[in-house]
This record gives sequence, structure tokens and C-alpha cells, in this order.
Amino acid sequence: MKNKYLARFSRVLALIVIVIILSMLSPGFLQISNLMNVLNQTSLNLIVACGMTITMLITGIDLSVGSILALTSVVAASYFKSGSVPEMAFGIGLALILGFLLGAMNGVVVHYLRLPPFLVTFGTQQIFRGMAFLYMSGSVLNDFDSVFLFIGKGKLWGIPTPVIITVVLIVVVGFILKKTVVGREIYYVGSNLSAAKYSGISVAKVTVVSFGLSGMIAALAGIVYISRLNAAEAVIGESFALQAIAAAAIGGISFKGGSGSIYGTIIGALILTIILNGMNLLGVPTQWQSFATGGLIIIAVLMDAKAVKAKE
Amino acid sequence: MDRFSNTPSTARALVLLKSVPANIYAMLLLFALLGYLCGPRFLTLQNFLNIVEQCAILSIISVGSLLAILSRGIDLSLGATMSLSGVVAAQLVTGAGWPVVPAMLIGVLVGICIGIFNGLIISRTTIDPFIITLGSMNITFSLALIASKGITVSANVPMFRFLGGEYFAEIIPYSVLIALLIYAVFNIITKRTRLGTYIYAVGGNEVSAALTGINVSRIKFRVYALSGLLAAIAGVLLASRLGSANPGQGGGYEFYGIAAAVVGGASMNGGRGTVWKTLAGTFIISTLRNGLNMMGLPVSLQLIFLGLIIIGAVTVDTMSRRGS
Repeated sequence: MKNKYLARFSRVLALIVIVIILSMLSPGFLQISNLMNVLNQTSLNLIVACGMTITMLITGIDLSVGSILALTSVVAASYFKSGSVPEMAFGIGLALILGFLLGAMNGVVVHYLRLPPFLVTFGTQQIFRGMAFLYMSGSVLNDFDSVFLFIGKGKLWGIPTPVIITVVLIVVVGFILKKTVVGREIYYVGSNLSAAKYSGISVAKVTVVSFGLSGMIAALAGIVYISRLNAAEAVIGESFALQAIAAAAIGGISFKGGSGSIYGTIIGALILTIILNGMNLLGVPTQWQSFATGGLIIIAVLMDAKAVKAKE
Repeated sequence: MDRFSNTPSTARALVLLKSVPANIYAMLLLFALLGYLCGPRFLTLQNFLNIVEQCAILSIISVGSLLAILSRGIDLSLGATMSLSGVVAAQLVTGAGWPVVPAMLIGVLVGICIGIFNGLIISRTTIDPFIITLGSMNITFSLALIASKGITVSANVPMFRFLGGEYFAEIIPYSVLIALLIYAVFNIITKRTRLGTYIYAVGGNEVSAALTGINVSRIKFRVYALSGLLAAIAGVLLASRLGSANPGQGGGYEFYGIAAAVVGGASMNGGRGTVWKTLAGTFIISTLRNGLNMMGLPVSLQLIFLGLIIIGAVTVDTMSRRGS
């Protein structure tokens, strides 16, 4: 238990150290406007990473989130052009439900056909993307209603709306994982599948719900994203899955399932964006951004591995 | 004594039929179906050679993916390594004025370094290879961006384009010969050498492999170093075929390589799969893409079919294994 807190604390510590160093190197970093900017940039990746965390907790992975994001948002996009709020609410609901169903489909295939989640979601990544192309047939939907644009571009009390949405989502997902039956079952299934089975947990339900939630959260990210872009097209979100996995991995979500929490993912996503933002402020050429992302992933997991070894 | 001696002839035929790998049937079926759907253009020798040529580079990557999968790992950095090797080779020729051969060798060497980097970390820690190679994929992509300054590096020199663009006896592309050579070598490595046997052992059950005295971390190191080498060769060949290199041109190959190995019957749980079946898997994917293209299907439907085929192939494979 002590080790668990140490591991979590080490990440917060790393985050604080990074913030201190950057604020010394670049005076612009600690300005409220820049910090808001950082949070705003983190929000999309963090939303997707919340869903990814859930699937990773059950030793799964969801490569299809980018395609789910694209498909749900292009299907719902036409409802966001008119000014009527009920219609827009319907569009959002439609996207979320569709996202859940697409994700649940991943879960059904993973569980009932007993296929590796990596391959299933790699396959559905192509399928959902193809369906998005089919639906749009090359067109772009843009010029959404100004009310809808508030979701991606607006501000409440000086805080960007995507940040508020992300915070609400984190609270909800944190609550689901920590306080609800299905959330606890997700941890059980992830840490010991056969023990979970023998204690009467429906692994089918847990798997389908986990992937469904991941899809639904991807759909939410899609709504925020097309609102920010003020356009919806079939190609959006292609790099989102791997970015979200990066954030979760930096945040200490284990690939072996059952360990890590949504708070780790938050720290991981924040470290990732802050480093990239800091590099921008310091004028580091953009070509180095991937290098930083990759380096962060490897350093973070190496630190974890060290912590585990020290415990042994 | 052969095992057919006392069986009736129909049963004998059945056993014979069963001894042919399932993906050979899948391939024949696919050919027949696509031939039917695309018309006579598909079943020409020229188109067949086209498919073979398109197949060559992916097939080399697939061997790298297979090695990682056999050891119960995965290598996501292969595509980025391809890009980096190609960019380095092209940049040395065009930017630095190097002769072609040393430039290509340095390109390959750089790719091996990425593989060694993966291998060092994966063999010395218990971290999931997925996450290590996801990290090195990002790093390698970044290095390719830096080496190419973010643009396409042209290397339109006849010598540079020789391996990827010229034909042996005016019919067989050199890239295909290289791929076949690689398959022959890796068939021997996986089947006849200690390294190969140990790779299967480590992938099948790492703990018992270690208990029998196999140096598991050395095997893992070699797996990733070799897959880096293969990615590097494929990357230089791709650059040679295109006569140019850009930092994104290998992207995505890592996933198709995995798909090819798995369609060819490799198990993501390690220890199961062969080099030649992987070639069949590569061939199925390439044929499919070629055929769907020829049918004039839009990208949307091509993607949907590709996804369905991947999931379908894995399903059939897992089902048949569970049945037996």
C-alpha cells in the first residue's frame, strides 16, 4: 500500500518539478492565460484517455476510439446547425448512445469470440472509419450554430468549457470506478479474471460496459472536438487513440490491468501537455515534440518498473 | 508405415486436405472471389506480379512483427523505423552526396539501433513491449522528422532506385528476391536454430523457458534487434522504390504487419505462428487491397472490408484451434 502511494506521489512530484522548472525558464508559462491554454489543450486528450483508462483496467485496449469519435460526430453533426436547443441536445444524445453501442460492439466481440482486444479494435478502427467515410462521402459539415460552438470554444467564469466538461467527466468516471458495483467489478476482472469469474461476477457485462463507456466517452470527445473545429469530417481524430494510451501510460495505468486510477491518467495527460507547451514557449522546433512524448512514456514506465523492483 | 494405410480413400483424401494450412484455402478462395468480382483484369499475370511487388515490402515488415508476436510481445516502432531508415539513406545520398551503398547501409544501421534500443529496455525490465515500442515509435518518428527537416527527401538517382524499382530478368522485382531471401533465412532461423526454438519457448511459456535454462532476456533482446533490422531493410527498400523518403511513409506498416502475421495464424499469446504462413497472411492482405481497388470500391468500403477480414480471419483461426 505504501508503495502505491509512493508511485502516485512520485508523478505529482514530477509534475510539480516540471512546472517549477518551466516557470523559471519561461516567464510566460505561469500566466493565467497560458495555464488556461494548457488545460484547454489537455482536455480533449484527457477525455479520450478517461475511456482508455477504463478499457486498460480490464487488460484491454481500445484502438478504435479515434474512429468512433469520427463516426459519431459526423452522424450527429447535422443536428448542430439549427439553433433549436432540443434538436442539439438530441444530436448530443444520439452521438453518446451511438458511441456506447459501437464500443459495446467491441466488447461483445472481445468477450464472446475471445479475441485479443488489440486486434478487434484495430479491425473496428478500419470499419468505423470506413463507415464515417461512407456517411460523409467526402463532404465537410461546418458553420454550426453559435450555441453549439460554446461547447468547444466558449468560456464559463473565465474557464474554457472543454475544461469544465473534462472535470465533470473525471468526477463521473472516478465515481463510477470507485463507488459503483460495476466500477469495482472492473478492477476485479482486471486484476484477476478467474477469481472474478468464480466470485460470480459477469465478465461479459463488465467487458461490454467497459468498452461501451470507452466508446461513449470517445463520442463526447468528438462533440467537443467538432465544436472546437467548427467542422465535422470523416478524417478527424486519427492520432487520438495512441495519444490517449500515451497519457494513460505516463499516468501509470498498467497494461497488466487492475491497477492505476483516473487520477494517474490526469497527471499523465497534464505532464504530456505541459512539456509540449513548455517546448513551444521555449522555441524548441516542433519536430522534437514526438521525441518528448516518446521519451516521457519510456521514462515514466521505467520509473514504475524501478518502484516495483524496489518493493520486491 | 504411413498413416493412410488402413483408411478408406475418402477419409484419406480428407486427411490430405486437412494437412494443407487453412490460409492456403483462404487465399485460393479469395483469388476465385476477387477474380469473379473484378473480371478478367484481376487474373492476369501482370496483375499477379503487381500484387507480388506490392507484397514485398509489407512481407518483410510482417516477419519483424511475427518475431515480436512469437515471443509474446509486439513491436509498434517498425513503421517509424522504416521511415527513419529511408529518410537517413535518402538524406545521405541527396543532402550529403554519399555514394548509394554506404548510405543505404547507414540507413539500415540506424534502424538496427532503434531495434537494439527496444531490445535493451524490453529484455531488462518487465514492462509491456507495447508501451516501450509505443514510446520508441514516437521517438523514432521525431528523429525521422528531424533528419528530413519535415519534408520529402528526393533521391532520384538510378543507383538508389535500383533495388526497389528494377527487375531481375525483366520480370521479377529485386525487392521480391530480397523478400524471398529474407523468408528463407528467417525460416531457417525460426525452425532450425537454437534462437528460433528459444523464441517459441519464451513466447509459449516464459517462466518454464527460464526454468529450463534459457536466457530469456537475451532472446528478447535479439528478437527486437532483428525486427529493427527487418524494418530498416523494408524502409530502405520503400525509399528506393519511391525514389524519395518522407518521415510519414512507413507509418501504419506496423499495424498491417501485425495484421498479416495474425491473419497468417500467429497467436497474440505467443509461441504460435510460422514464417511461411505469415507470408500467406501478407499475401492475403495485399491481394485483398489490390482486388478491392480494382473493383473500384471507394476507400470507405475498402476500410470496412479490411477490418472485417482481419476480425474474421482471427475469429476463424481461434475457433478452429479451440475445436481441435
